[in-house]
Amino acid sequence: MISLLILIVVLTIATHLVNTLGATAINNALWMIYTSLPTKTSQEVRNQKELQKEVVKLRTELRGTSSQDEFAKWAKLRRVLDKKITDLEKLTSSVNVTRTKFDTQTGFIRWVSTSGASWAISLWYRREPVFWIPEGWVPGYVEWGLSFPKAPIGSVSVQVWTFAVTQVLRVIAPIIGSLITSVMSTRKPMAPMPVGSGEKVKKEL
Amino acid sequence: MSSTFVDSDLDPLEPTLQSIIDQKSLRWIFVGGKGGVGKTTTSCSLAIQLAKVRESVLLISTDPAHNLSDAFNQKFGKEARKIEGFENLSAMEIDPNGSIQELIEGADGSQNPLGNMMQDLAFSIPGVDEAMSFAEVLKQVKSLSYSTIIFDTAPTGHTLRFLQFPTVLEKALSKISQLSGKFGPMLNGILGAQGGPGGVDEMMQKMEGMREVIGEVSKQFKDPDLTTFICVCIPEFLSLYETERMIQELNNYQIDTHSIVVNQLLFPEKGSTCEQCTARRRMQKKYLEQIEELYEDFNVVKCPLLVEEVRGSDRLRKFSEMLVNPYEPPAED
Repeated sequence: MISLLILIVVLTIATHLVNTLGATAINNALWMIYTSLPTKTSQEVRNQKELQKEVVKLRTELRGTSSQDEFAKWAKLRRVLDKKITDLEKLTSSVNVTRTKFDTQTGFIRWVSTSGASWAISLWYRREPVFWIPEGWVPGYVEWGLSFPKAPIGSVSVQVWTFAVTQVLRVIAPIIGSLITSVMSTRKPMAPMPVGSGEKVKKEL
Repeated sequence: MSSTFVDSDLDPLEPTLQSIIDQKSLRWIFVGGKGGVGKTTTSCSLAIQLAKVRESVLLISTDPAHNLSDAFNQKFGKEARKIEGFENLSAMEIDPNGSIQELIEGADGSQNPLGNMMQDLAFSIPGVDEAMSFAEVLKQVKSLSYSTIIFDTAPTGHTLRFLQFPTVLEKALSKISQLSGKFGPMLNGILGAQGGPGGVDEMMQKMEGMREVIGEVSKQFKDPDLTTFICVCIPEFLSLYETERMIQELNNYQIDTHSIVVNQLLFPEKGSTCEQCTARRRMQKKYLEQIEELYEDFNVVKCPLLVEEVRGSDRLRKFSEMLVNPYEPPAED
């Protein structure tokens, strides 16, 4: 059952990563990737950015036009600007709706592939041993504890293994993170300090 | 835009309101603009001109200041009354705020405070007062069968704000119905204990009925064959600004507008030594040019500033000619 052992380790590391990086950061990254693909949404996002630029340009132009001396020009600019702003608002709300939907979906997928998966595994393999420990290593009541809740006596249960991996990860992850940052900063003394804890964890793998 | 089309194919549109007078299908005509620019004069004049070619014309003032009585030197009230000296021209003055007040009081008496509270709540929706008074007027007018009705509106930029009303009310109604779903039984219990009518359901029914009436009204107002809006302004910055805003707003509401009356133009005669007049004339000229550039696809009517107040039927008659036959300014320097 070596594969179950590794599966749980990988899964726990993945969950930990997702939790440290933060759901928002991951969603943002995924959104960036999604909108760079040739989809309808990416077209909308591009249009939105263009419109934003145009609105800013028109605003400056409008500010530079005297409403009293060149009323006709000013009013025409104003009409164009108003129209652009309404368009922009419409587009923004449509993009926002897509974004919310996207976030919900990715959130669901993320949950299924991390917490959901580990939950399912611990349920599915609750009677299977992850690995056996040699007989007589530990007293009987400890054996019972290690096989808690349903695995055969003398083995380590999925639940206990997951718990152990999580605890170890919780202790060593920050150590590895700080180690990497200190190595990076000594190697490149001129390089700017890495920003945000999310980046650190990325580098550790 | 249509302006390019106008540019290439047509001469500038004629500077009169003849097109409105010729358009027999028009049933509602609104006259609006900033305060003091001559809305009442314009609407009275237009009414006079229309009366010549239509079967019957009704002039309604929704301005609480009520200038119709002053313009014709005759007292008008809430009932349509014939204007002296005209066969087929009537006028009435209504007060948007007054009629809503009456409606609130008339609807529910004052038996139960909670019912009144609900009504106050309902009538605090923006635009509902105007909408209600318009609905009232339209009900009256429908039974009276005038061929054309001219509205002399109040000097606000939001005269037709109530056209958004059906949507606003729909939202409000859904909110209220949610509320009444939750608290209705309780409210009805309290109201019922007092034995007065005006439960929540009845209230809802009233609102629903109102919404239908107003929906009908706004449908009519959005039909360019039935309704048009005439903007009155003077060649000054604020008036122009207001007019532009109003026109954009009307476009948003999909109300047809293709006429502007520019009032109070100064035409100093040749060799005039009036410094003020010539200075003002220069300023007005500047804004006139801007108007012509900006509103190419509008009928822009130019009316001069007179030396006398336009009051009384005779003077109005004379003034009204200028809406049809463009005023010929005297020779200038």
